[in-house]
Amino acid sequence: MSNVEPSEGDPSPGVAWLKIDSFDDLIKHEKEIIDQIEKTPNGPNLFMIHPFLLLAEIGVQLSTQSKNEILKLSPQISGLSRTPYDALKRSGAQQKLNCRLKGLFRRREK
Amino acid sequence: MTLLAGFDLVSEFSHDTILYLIRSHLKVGGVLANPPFEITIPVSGSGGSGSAHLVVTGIHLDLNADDTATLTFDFRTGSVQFSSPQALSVCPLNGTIAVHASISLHPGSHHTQSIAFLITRADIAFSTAADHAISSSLSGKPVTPAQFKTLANQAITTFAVGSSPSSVQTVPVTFTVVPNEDGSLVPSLVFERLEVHCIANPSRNKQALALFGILLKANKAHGDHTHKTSSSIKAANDGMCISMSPEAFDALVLCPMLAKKLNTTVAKLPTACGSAPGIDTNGVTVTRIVDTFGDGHIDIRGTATKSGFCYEAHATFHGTLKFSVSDGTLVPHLVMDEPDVSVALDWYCWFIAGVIGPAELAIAGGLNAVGQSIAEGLAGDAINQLLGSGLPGVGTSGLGAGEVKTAEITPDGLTLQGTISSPVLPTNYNADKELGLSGSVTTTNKAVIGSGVFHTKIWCMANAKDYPYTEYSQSQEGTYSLTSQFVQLPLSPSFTLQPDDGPEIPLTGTSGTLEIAGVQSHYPMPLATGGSMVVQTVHIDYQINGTTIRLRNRPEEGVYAVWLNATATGCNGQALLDDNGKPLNPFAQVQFEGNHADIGGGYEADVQYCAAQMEAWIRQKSDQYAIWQKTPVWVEVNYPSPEELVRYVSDLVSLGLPEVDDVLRAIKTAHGNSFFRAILSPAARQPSLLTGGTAVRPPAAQKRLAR
Repeated sequence: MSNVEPSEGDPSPGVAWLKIDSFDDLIKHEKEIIDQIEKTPNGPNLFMIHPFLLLAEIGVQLSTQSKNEILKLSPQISGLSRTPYDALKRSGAQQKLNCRLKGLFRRREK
Repeated sequence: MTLLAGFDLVSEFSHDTILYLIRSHLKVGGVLANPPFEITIPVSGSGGSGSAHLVVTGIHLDLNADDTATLTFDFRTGSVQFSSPQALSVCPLNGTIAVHASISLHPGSHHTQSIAFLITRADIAFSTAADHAISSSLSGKPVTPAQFKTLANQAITTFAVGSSPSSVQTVPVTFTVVPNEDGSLVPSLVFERLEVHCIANPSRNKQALALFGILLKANKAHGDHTHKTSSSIKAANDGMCISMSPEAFDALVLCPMLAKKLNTTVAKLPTACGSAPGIDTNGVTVTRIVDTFGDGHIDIRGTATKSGFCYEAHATFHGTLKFSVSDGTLVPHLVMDEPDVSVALDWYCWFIAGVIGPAELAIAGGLNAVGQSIAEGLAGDAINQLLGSGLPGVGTSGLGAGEVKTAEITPDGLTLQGTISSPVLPTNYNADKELGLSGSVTTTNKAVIGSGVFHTKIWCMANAKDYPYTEYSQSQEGTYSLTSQFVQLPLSPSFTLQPDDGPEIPLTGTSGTLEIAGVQSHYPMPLATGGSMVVQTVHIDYQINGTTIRLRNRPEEGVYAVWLNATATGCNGQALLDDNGKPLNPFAQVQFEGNHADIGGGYEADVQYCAAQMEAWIRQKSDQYAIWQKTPVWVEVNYPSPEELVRYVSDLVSLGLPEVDDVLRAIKTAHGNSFFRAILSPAARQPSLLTGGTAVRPPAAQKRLAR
């Protein structure tokens, strides 16, 4: 069985307007990324379903190091699938559950 | 009319009792003759071919003088579909079908004979309205009304009788018949000869079926059933009666009982039972004892002698025997009159003062003792043994419990009147017109579309663990058929699909793809959140073939449910309505599971372990503080019923503990699509399940469920 969790190379990434090399870099741009997610139809919901696909879609390019740091800090981000992600993308319907994001990922413990 | 028509014993069963037997056991064309029922039969012959469908609603029985039964069935909402010489429908049809059957006794094993029916003919008769429908439907068609009726009659006869000679059908009312031997009443009823005949009457409740029996070999040539022209049954509907001739009473009841009481054999009794000159008992010698049937009683008469050292006394005695019935038991009442005694005294007896008086007293006392023994014998022996099962000696496993109500005595014989409480018939009580949708969803293709490792900490575990998972895409197909009961055929169905709380969308044509907007779909991924929910437009491919519909999902549209509704028109193109005039409108929930995830690594077992820990903790707290009325009991991950899972989740939510969200997520993930099945099911909308007897309000619980 291969792990088919998406990487930055997954289909349909948006034009990268932000390259993130580390977790600290990500936190530094957190507000503007969240703003971008909020502007995306069903963005927060899509982020909840598959954060990496959504970030790629909105043009946030995560380096391997930054992705590894995220997973190290939030190992529970696993068991992701693009099937529901694509379904939500396709759907133009008003969702019954709408999320709002206050932050992207868990911070480092100080 | 005579009571017994020269026979020894006649058993009569009422019209209603025989109808019960028929409805319980007789089959017409393989169908139990117990309306309501429906039949579909082929119609074929010169003029055309096709099939007929009839809903049979009633049955009437006539017991005819020629020992036949006529079963008249009422039918309604019938229709005939011709496929040749051209496709055409004839409807609506109602009327009657008369099925004729001969009645006889059919020999079985061990000298048994059972009541048997042989269906010989069937005729169909249409109502005036049906005649009009036939003329109208066939106007200008290649099948004429006359041809139609001939074909219909042929079809009904072939159905009821069969193409080859139909076979005899027995009902479980059996008798033992041993020819050329004396029969018996007890310990079992054995006939020397037995005949079955109908007692006809224009009024059905006076009709009966009678078994005419010879018990005594000496009477084998006796009996002519035609002399019994009316039934002796007194009960209005559920009656039966058994009549016994005086001769049979003497030979099979009185004499054997006397012999037993007097410790001898029948042959050693005096006239009229035996040929002995007398028999000594209780200090007297009984020299003759005879009985005579009168109106309401039996006279017992006899003679006796008694002799002393100087006298010889001759006595004649008389007693009146009557019967009453108490709790189904026959109770004899014998009153002995004072005997007439003539005493012949030797000369020297004149010198013994008062000798006559003692002689009379001795005789009277002795005869009273004889009378007492007769009464006791009748009470304890023959007749009541015969009545032991309620019905005198008849093998009646096919009938209900019988109870003797009265005993009547006439010069013709003794008649026991009783009733039979037949058990409740196995009638189809759900006799309403109905349409239904029967079917299920099956997976036609399952493919792996992803796999990985799910890293999570289940709430009660010390550390997080890795659990491998596999995600599947599932193509599914739901096949549903419209079923019917007691409605006019053929069915022309119309189907609609409907999301929860959405409008019905008709399915047009025989195939296509339906788009349903606003459907709430579920996906098991991401596992960490217990899945996701998407409101979207789903696409369902459909194919309609007659009364069957096939629905196919698109796997990428996840797990969702829609309602399949149906209506139908019958043969005449009118909407099928229930008995209250409302359209019959069956529906079924169709659940598709296009997306599915399996989690390995002992995930389910770990969740179950934590749930058990929590259950034990809650039980402890409940015992101590009575905080919670209900303890959620873990539902195993093995296709649980939606009701079980909904109740479990509802009970969990009602705890109001901070950990509940974590617990719910883990449970949702562990149960996977079973969880979605539960929240999509009607069970999730049942307030009784959601409240579960706790303080939780349904909307809150439902909201938690769907999250």
